[in-house]
Parts: sequence; C-alpha cells; structure tokens
Amino acid sequence: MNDTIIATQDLTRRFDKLLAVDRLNMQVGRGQVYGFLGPNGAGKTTTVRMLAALISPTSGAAWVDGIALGSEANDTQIRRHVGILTESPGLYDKLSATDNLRFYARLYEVPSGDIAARVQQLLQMMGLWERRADKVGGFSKGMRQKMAIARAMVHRPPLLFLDEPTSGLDPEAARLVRDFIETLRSEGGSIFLTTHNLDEADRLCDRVGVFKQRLIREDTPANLRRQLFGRRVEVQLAQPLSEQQSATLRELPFISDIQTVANSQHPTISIGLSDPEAQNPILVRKLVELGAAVQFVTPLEASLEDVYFSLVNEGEKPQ
Amino acid sequence: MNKAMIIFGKDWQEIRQSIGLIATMLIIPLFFTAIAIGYVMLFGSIGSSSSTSGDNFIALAQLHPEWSGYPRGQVIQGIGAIAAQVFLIVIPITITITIASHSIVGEKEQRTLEPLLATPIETWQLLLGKMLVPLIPGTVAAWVAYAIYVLVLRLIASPLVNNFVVSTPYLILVFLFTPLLTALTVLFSLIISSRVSSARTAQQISSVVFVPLILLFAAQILGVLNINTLASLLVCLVVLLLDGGALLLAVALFQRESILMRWK
Repeated sequence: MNDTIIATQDLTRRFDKLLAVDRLNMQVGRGQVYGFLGPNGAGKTTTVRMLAALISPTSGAAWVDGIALGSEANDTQIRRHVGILTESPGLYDKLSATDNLRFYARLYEVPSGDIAARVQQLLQMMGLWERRADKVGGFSKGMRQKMAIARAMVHRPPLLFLDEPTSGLDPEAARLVRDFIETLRSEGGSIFLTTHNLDEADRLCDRVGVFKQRLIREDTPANLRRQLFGRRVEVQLAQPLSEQQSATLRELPFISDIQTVANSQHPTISIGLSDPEAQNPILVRKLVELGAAVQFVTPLEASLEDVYFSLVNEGEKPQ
Repeated sequence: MNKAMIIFGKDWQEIRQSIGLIATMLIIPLFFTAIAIGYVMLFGSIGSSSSTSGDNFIALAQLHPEWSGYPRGQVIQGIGAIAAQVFLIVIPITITITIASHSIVGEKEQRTLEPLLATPIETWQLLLGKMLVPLIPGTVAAWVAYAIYVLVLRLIASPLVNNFVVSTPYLILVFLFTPLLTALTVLFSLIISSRVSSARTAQQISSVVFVPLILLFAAQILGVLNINTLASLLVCLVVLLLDGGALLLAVALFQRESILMRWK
C-alpha cells in the first residue's frame, strides 16, 4: 500500500479571471492528520473540492489514495475512497437521524446487510443513538455537525476531509469533535483538516500547510515554529544580572541574543538558543558560576498562531 | 438504476412528510376530474335542451364521422368530452411542476447538494432519480383520475361519450402522451431549476409548459386539429423527440461541477 494518501503536482484551479489555487505541490502521508491553514478566500475549499473529485482542476495532477484525478471513472472511484464534511452539514431535515445515515450508506455502496449495524455504531459513537428516530430538523447545531461527521464516515473511507469541523460549535461539542479526530488518528485514519482554529491545528495535526492560493510553507507545527522563530528559554532570577554577568553570558557561542522581559514581577531574561535540550544545562551551569540566583528556567515556543500570521503576512514568498 | 431508485426513495420519503405536497397530489386529481365530469355534464345538458345554443357545436362534430347517426344531444356531449381532455392532462403537469420544483430546488435550499455529489453517484443516476420523483406520482395520479373519470361517466354519460373515452386515440392520449408530456415537464423543470434559486420561481417559470398544451386542445376543440389514432401517435412522437432533446440539454447543463456551482 502506498504511504502517500494525497499527492498533487502543480494543481491549479482558475475561475474565469480568479486564480483560486496556484500550482499546489503537496504530499500527505497515510495515517496523518494534515492541517490546511489559510485565511478566508485562500482557496482551501476549492482545493478540498478538487481532491474530493467534486470539481476538476484547470491544470496539474493529483492522486488520492493512489487514484489519479481526472477521468469520470477515476473520480467516481475517488469519491468511494473519501468522506467529506462540507462547510454546511447538508442534512435532510425531514428525515430522521437513522434515515439520513441509511440514505448515504446506500449511496456509498455499504453492503445492505451491514448498514443497520454501521448506522447504530456511528450514532452511538456520536451520542445520538437516543435521538435516532427524531427528524434532524430539530437537532441543535452541535448535533447536526456530529451527524455530518457520521455521514462522512458511514462508508469507512480511508481519507476524511473535514472542512472547519468545529466552526460555530459550543466548547463542549467542539471538544467532542476534537476528541473524535484524535480517536480516528490513533486508529490510523488519514484526515485532511481545514481550520481557522490554530490551537486546534496545533493539537491535532501531524503536519500543517499554510496556504494562500499557493502553499506558502508546510511542516510539522513544531518545526515551523523552530524554523521561523527559533527557540528560547526564559530565566527568572532573584536579582537582575549585572552588566558584567550579561556580557560574559553573551560570549557563550550558542546564545543568539539575550532580552530583558518587561512587565515581569521578577527579574527575567529571555535567551535565544538553537538547541535548548543540549545547551540548557551548560547555560544554567554558567549562570550559577557567574553567581546569578536562578529561580526558574522555562522553555518558550512561538505559538502556531505566530507562525501562521508571519507566513500569511509574508504572503507569496515561495517555499 | 439502483442509485436513481435510492434518490427516488429518499425524495418520496421527504414528500410524504410534507402535508402541502400530499394535499396537492390528492386534491388536484379530484378537482380536475370533477371539472372534466362537470364539463361533460354541462355539454350534455346543452345538448338535451331544446334551445339552439348547441347548434354551433354540431359543426365541430363533422371531424368525427363515426359519430354520425348518434342523437344530437349525445354528439354535443361528445364535444364536451373532447374539451374536457385538457383537464385530465393538466393533472400530471400540475403535480409534476409542484413536486419537481421542491425535489430539485429543495436540495439547493437545504444545502444538501455538495454532500450528495460527493458520493459515488453518476450524474445520470442523480438526474434519473430526480426525474422519477415527480414523474411516477404525476403519471399514477393521471391514470387514477382517468379511471375515476371513466367509471363516473359510465354512470352518467351517453354511450357515445363512453365509447369516446376508451377509444384508441384517447387511450394513446392517456397512457402514452400523458407520461411523455409529464417527462417533458420534469425535464423542463430540471433545466429551469439549474437557473433559479427558489422552488416558487421554478414552479412559476415551469408553468409555461401549459401554453402549448392549451393551444393544442384549443385547436382540437375549434376543429383545426382532429386527433385520430394516427395524429395521436404523431403528437406522441413529437413529444418523444422533444423529450430526447430536453434530456440532452438537461444532461449538458447538469454536469456535476455546474450543478455544484449553480445550485450552491
């Protein structure tokens, strides 16, 4: 089995004069949760629609679960292999929860003998089994979103596209959805997640791609932080460092810079390091040798939000 | 075909939940059948009266040589039966337009189209399913209405009328022309639905299908056109060709991507 679930090569989509997706080159590994981040109008939904064989690319190529996009037969095959949670839940309000899922199970060619058990399993998993006979028109937004996720998974697709899965949900429902994504990941499912919630992406995604018409940068969240902002430690002291202590500290070859942290109750300095795991013991030893009273040493990392805004503002810079 | 039937089953399940649509499907056939029967009875009473008001209709009966020898009253009632045909044809068309507008634009209104198109359903299966939803109940309603019409006329109408409503051209009209015209209406509604965003607008625009129908029957009542067996078959052939053309147009307009973009 191929280790890559999604691969694209110069995938491009144009709507008349609007270039929505520009030469996207990307690979998503099987079993990964891939976060696709970008501002509104960046072309994320267009990308998902192309990869789910809903719309065709203007140029370029893509392979989903090893199947090349483009021909009608292949596109139908791709649709069998993917589940998609669209921006709107898209449920039939007059039908019950069971009937909605049963309808999609039949369209997705789930063997008729398995449908009842699968529907029951999904409704139980989503906590909706007690409401199985109720029309979904009376469901809350969170329940509808859970139904939509269940619908996307009804045929056990190898790849799941989740477009803003926690958008508009209350914290409890959002948490349930996130827990569910984590469960899927632990079971080896491949998920392509578009989200504006950067904290969510940071927690859930193995890799993230920052996208605005084109892929600006992609890597693991930790690597992106490291590449863009380096790594720092914050040292809280009983007394501020003297000029001489600071100067001696700067002579250490692995220290990139030392900044005094303003607005801190205690004297605190922030030190840039390239490899804190290896360099921190040396740093602490040196501080103690210099007579500094070290109270706490805390590793600092830029948030994915910092990375995102830096990259999106940086904009069109090629990878 | 199986997936078209799945679409049909789902839509039919939704229709069953809509009291308005169910009422439309029950009331319309009864209403127009009653009007058709009333029309025949009205002409029957004109024919049996001693006034000369029915003489104008006698001239129209020249197109039906098989009616020569029948009493004047029965012939005038026969003219009424010709005129009443239009009411039976209106039944499936009205039901079709009502259901088709909801079934097709309903996907757009409920925003269910994208998840539906994301399934491995072929475009033709989706279109066929959407065609069957109004076509089957519309045609069945027309046939049930026809059965009621014939049974009631057995009790109250003249032998000439009873023979006329089971004559070959009439049977062709009911069992061939009606489904073909209903299919044309469905296809027309499908095409209209790709361009509009509300069920009401689709319904209103689709109603123009009544215009050629009314012209056709006006021509028949005025004696311009005599619908005998051959003419009935020719009319059916023309509608069949129109069905084919409309189907090609619908398929051309309803490519998956265009459906998604236009119906969003």
